Formats: sequence, C-alpha cells, structure tokens
Amino acid sequence: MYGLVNRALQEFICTHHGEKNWQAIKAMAGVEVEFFVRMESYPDDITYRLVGAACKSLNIEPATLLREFGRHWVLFTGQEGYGSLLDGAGSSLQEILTNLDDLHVRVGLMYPALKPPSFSCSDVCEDGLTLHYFSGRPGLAPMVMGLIEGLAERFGKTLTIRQSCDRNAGDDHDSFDIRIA
Amino acid sequence: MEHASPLPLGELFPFLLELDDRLRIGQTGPLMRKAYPGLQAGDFLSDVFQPIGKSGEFASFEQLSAEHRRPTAIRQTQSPALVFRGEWFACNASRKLFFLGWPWVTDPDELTNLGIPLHAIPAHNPLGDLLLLLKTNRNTLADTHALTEALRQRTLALESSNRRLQDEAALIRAVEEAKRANHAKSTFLANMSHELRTPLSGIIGMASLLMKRSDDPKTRDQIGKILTSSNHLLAVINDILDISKIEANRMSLESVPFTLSGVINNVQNALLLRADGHRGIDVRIAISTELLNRVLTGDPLRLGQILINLLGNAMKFTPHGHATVRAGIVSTEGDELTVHFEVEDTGIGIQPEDQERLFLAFEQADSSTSRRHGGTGLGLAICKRLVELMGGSIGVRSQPGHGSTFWFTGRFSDPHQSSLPVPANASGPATEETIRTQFGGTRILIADDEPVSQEIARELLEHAGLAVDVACDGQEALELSRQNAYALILMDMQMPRMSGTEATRCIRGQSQNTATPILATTANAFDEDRKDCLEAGMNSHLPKPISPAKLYEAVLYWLQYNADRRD
Repeated sequence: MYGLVNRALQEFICTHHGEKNWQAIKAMAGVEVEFFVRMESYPDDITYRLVGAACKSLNIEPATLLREFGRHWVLFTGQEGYGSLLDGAGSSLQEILTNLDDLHVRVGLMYPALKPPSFSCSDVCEDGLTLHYFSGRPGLAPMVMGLIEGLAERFGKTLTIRQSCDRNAGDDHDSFDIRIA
Repeated sequence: MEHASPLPLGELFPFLLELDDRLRIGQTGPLMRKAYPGLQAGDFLSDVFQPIGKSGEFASFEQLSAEHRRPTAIRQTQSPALVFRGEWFACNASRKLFFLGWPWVTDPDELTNLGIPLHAIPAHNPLGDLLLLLKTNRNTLADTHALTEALRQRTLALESSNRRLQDEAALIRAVEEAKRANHAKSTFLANMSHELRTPLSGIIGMASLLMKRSDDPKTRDQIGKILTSSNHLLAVINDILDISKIEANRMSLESVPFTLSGVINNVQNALLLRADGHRGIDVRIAISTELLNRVLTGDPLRLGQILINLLGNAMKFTPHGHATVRAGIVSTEGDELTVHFEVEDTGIGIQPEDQERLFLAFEQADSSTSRRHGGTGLGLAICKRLVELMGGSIGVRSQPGHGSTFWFTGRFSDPHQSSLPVPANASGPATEETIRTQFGGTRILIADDEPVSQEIARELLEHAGLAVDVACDGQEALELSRQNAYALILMDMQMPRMSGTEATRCIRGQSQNTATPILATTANAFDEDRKDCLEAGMNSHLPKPISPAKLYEAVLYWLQYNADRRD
C-alpha cells in the first residue's frame, strides 16, 4: 500500500487515541518505519500488522476499527490535498459513487504500484444504489462501508448501508445496498 | 446577445472563444462564461484578453490567421494571473478564428476559485489528472523536506551524542590516568615509607639499646632527645602514610573484640611516652565502668589513634588545667551500637572561623601553630576519615580562651559475648622481665638482611634472656629452621635470595617449625602487606620501626601462645 494509507492510519490513531498509543502499536507490530512517505509503496503486510496491533492494543474489533478508519480516510485525503480529486469525481453522492471506479482507474494509472480496488454500481435509482466492491486484499469491506459513510458526511447526507454480498461468506465479491435518506 | 455554443465544439473545448474577422468575440465555451460572467458577445478580443509574448497585442485577423495551429498563450486583462494555453484555429472560408485552449493552472484551487468545479472538467480531459500529479509532486516534495529535517535533527542528535561519548571517553581516560597516578603515588609512598622507616628503625633501635646501656645522665638526656626527635619523625611519616592509604582507599578497619578500658589504657601509655605528655595536666576519664568493660567489636587500634590524636591536641593546647575523656552509648540498632566520645580541654580554644578548616588535610587553625607546636596538620583529617570509616561523624565546639570539646561518634558491633578473648595489655618493662622469667634461654630465630635491624632485634631479645639465631636471608632462615626447632621466628619480608613470604611457605611445608609462630617484621606498612604475610602462613605482622615495648609485647604474646600450643 502507499504510504498515504499508513500515514492516514497513523493520524487516525494519534487523533483518537494519542501519540503514545501509536508508538506502542508500532512497536507491537514490529514496524520500525519512522516516517511514511505518502507516495512510496510499502508492503501490505505493514498495514495489516498495524491494524492487527491497534485492535489488540486498543481492544477494538477489526471491523469497527476499519469502518472508523474508512470514515477518517475521506476526511484525511481531503485534508491532504486530494479533496479536489473527490470533487472531480462528482457533484453528488450518487455521482461520486458511480464514478468511484473511474476515480480508482485514474489513480491506478498515475500510481502503478497502487493496485487499487475496483467498483461497479447497479440498481441505481433516486434514493440509492448497490455498490459492488472487488479487491485482491482481503478483509477491507468494513473500511469501504466507513468510506461510503464518510462521503455521505461530505455531502451532508444520511444513509443506511447493508452488506448484501460478503466474500467472507463465500461470495465472489462484496456488495453494499445503500439507501440515501 | 445569446451565448449559445454549437455542439460539439463547446462540449469538447469548454474554454472556447470564437472571433470574427474584426476580432470581436462571438460564441464562447460554457466554462469560459462561468469563469468570466461579464464576458459579452461583441466585445473586442483586445479589450478582454492580451497575448503573452510576441508583439504584446492582437493586431489583425490576418496576423492571427497566420498563427493557425500554432501554440499560443493569452491572459485575461483584468485577471492577469489566469493564463489560457491553446492554439488559434483559422477558418478562412467563414473568416472565423477559434481559440481552443485550457486554463494553465497548477493547483485545483485556482479553478475552484474561479467557480469551476473539477467535475465540470470532462473525464476524458487529462487536466484533472495533471493537477492531481502536481499535487502529489508537491506532497512528495513536502515529504522530502520533512525527511531532510528529520535527518538534520537526527544528525544533530548523533553529533551531540558523539560529543557526549567523546567527553565521557575523555573522562574515563582521565579517571584511568588519575587512578594510575594515584596508584603510582601509593606505590611511591609505600617505597618511600619503607626507605624512611628502615633507617629510622635503626636510629630508634640503636638509641634504645644505648639508653639501656648508659648510666651517664647527660648521655641519657641526649639519647632521650634522639628518641623524641625520631619518634616525632616516625609520627609524621605515619600520618602521611595514613592519609595516603585513606585517599587510595587502601585503609581497611579491623573487626576484633576489644574493651574501651584496654583502648584508654593504651592511649594513656602512648601519651605518657610523648614529650608533650609530661606537662602534668590532669587527664580525667569520665566513662562508666560498665561501658569501659563492655566487649565491643571494631578496630581498637584506629579508635586509640583517634583518641591519642584528640587527647594529644588537648594536652598540646592546654597550658594549665585539665582534659576530660567522656564516652556514652547514644543508640542501639540490632547488634550495632553507636558510641559518642568527647575530649574536652580547658585550653586556648579555637576561633570560630578556624573551626571548619580544622578537619581538612594539611590545614591548621593558625599557620604559626606548626611552628609553635609542631605537627603535620594531618592529625584531625585522619581522625575525620577514620571516624567516617567507622560510620560516624566528628566535630568541635569551642570558645577562644575557654577551651575546646572535640566529639566523634563511631559504630561498633556488640557481640553479646563477654567471654570473647580480648587481647591482654602489656607494658614495656614488665613484659621484658616476664620474658626473662618465663622464657629465659628459649631459642628463637631472627631473619633479616639488614645488619642494623638484626643487631637491634638480637640485642633487645638477648637482653630479655632469649637465645637468638640470626639468618641473613630467607634461604638461610629455611636451612636453619630445617636444622633447629624454634619457639618463635621473626621474619623480614623483603630479603635477597628468598623473600620472607616464600621462606615462610617453605618452612610451613617442610621443616622442624611447621607450626612455630612466625611474625613478619617489615617497614612495608600497607594492609596488603599484612594480608600477604597471613596468606603465606605467618601468624602476625609487626610494622617497622618496632619499638622495644611493642617488640617485647608481641614476642611475649606469641611465646605464650607457642607454650600453650605445646601443652
């Protein structure tokens, strides 16, 4: 993963749980990197180890932590200067979700080592849609749910999400039914 | 006027400008209108825009037509920061000119500030991606700066740490050098001590022998002065040696059973022998009989040394009057008790400003003191260090003209066993007589390579009625001890051919004297010397110069020990 993700995780832990906890989590995960360069590619294992250690150290379920991190991710990328990328992806929540795959294709072209996930939409109607999520990385579906919630916050919308397909349950991908209030 | 843009040109180029042959603006792209809402059809191009480079103005339709398909850059006159980069496209048939271009921006915010959201840029257009890449480059540059700063801080920390390590290494080297220097000093002092004590031993010994033989009052007086001066010199050497031993951490205290009565008795005897002890001031001992006779564990010799020093000073600085020695137990903790001692005199007293300096080495209350009263100025410094080794403290209360009270405390063990053997005290003349009476004719061996020392010891011991064999070195001592059985052997440590310790080991291994008491006699006065003697198998250690009284005392003790052993 790109250092940007690890940097976001660092900022998320430091903001909500303090710098001391972050240092303890890093030590527990056996990660000795002191400074994550945003556009440097790091092994996925580092991110997984950090998330695992954070769950253990903070006594939080992985799904809960990843969902909160997904919400934080939208806020973080906005702060880090990538808000315009989101702006460019659409003027409404539905439009941005529909363009999510194009957004990731563009990012993937720019950063070849990123291996971004892929998205598609179905059942698009006025009050919602179904978002399909395809990724080579396991276990990150809760983060996508948090990410959708974060985007909704960005547009001042409230929504309900239900996971309709679950890779953990044997489906070939994850999908989410999204209803916008 | 209407601002309709014919498809698909306006869709493809949202910043489109259409001009007629008089260079008046006609149709415009939707984003151009969004960026400049005041833009009106019919406006002359040169009123709203200006070219960058070249002539600096738009001359004519023909001139711009000649720029057909060539890159160009224009800026809006009222917002010169915003530049459009594109090309002129000339349509000579319709006499129209088209500007097909995009804003030249390096940050998405520049567009949003113009009211143009990024999503307004068609997805097929790479402008958004380029802006993102530029943003990424800026972030990477920021990361590089952050890393450089972190590296700089780390370098500074390492440099600081390096300096500290260098300082510490220098300090360690300095300490090592100081230790080496101190060791060298101690070795030098030990050697000097030996070199000074050996001739001094000869002087005191010979003077003592002369005194025994002489009946002429004038000669005895002169010999007495030699002895007084020699003993004074010995006291000075002992002081310097003591302070050196303490400073080199080579002074260790004994832990043997003793009684205060024994210590006080020895102190009084020692002071009586000193010239300044004849002044006739009254010395009072105000210590309870119970405490005087209580068996304590500690170093009686060093305790005596402190009391001799304090009482000696009291006598020295008290022309008339008296000195009082007091002692009392101030606290008990487990089997340890702390005893408080006081030596009070009615002498000249000490000025308050001098009292603090008294216990520093080489300090005296008044530099004229040494001229008037003698002394090295080390006595109280030694007392202070000895008291500290005993786990106590020392101080003084004094009023000029009204005397002084020196006090100190010391911690001693209370063995709770009054039956522990306590060494008997013996006085000089009585001991010599006792040796003659009890052990007259007993055969002993003296091993010493130094003729003067040999002569003194032989004469003193023969005077006490003993039969004395003399060996000139360790080898000879070994040979004699293999031929004869002796009641006692006095062994010098440093001798040619075979040292005293080596000879002792051999005697203990195979001779007629494997269990005979062997006393080391040496001018080496450090604790290590005594340890070496005991490790070699010797029974005790007598530092030179040995006074006749001490020699008789030790010889009597060990002859009795040998007799008891045989019984």
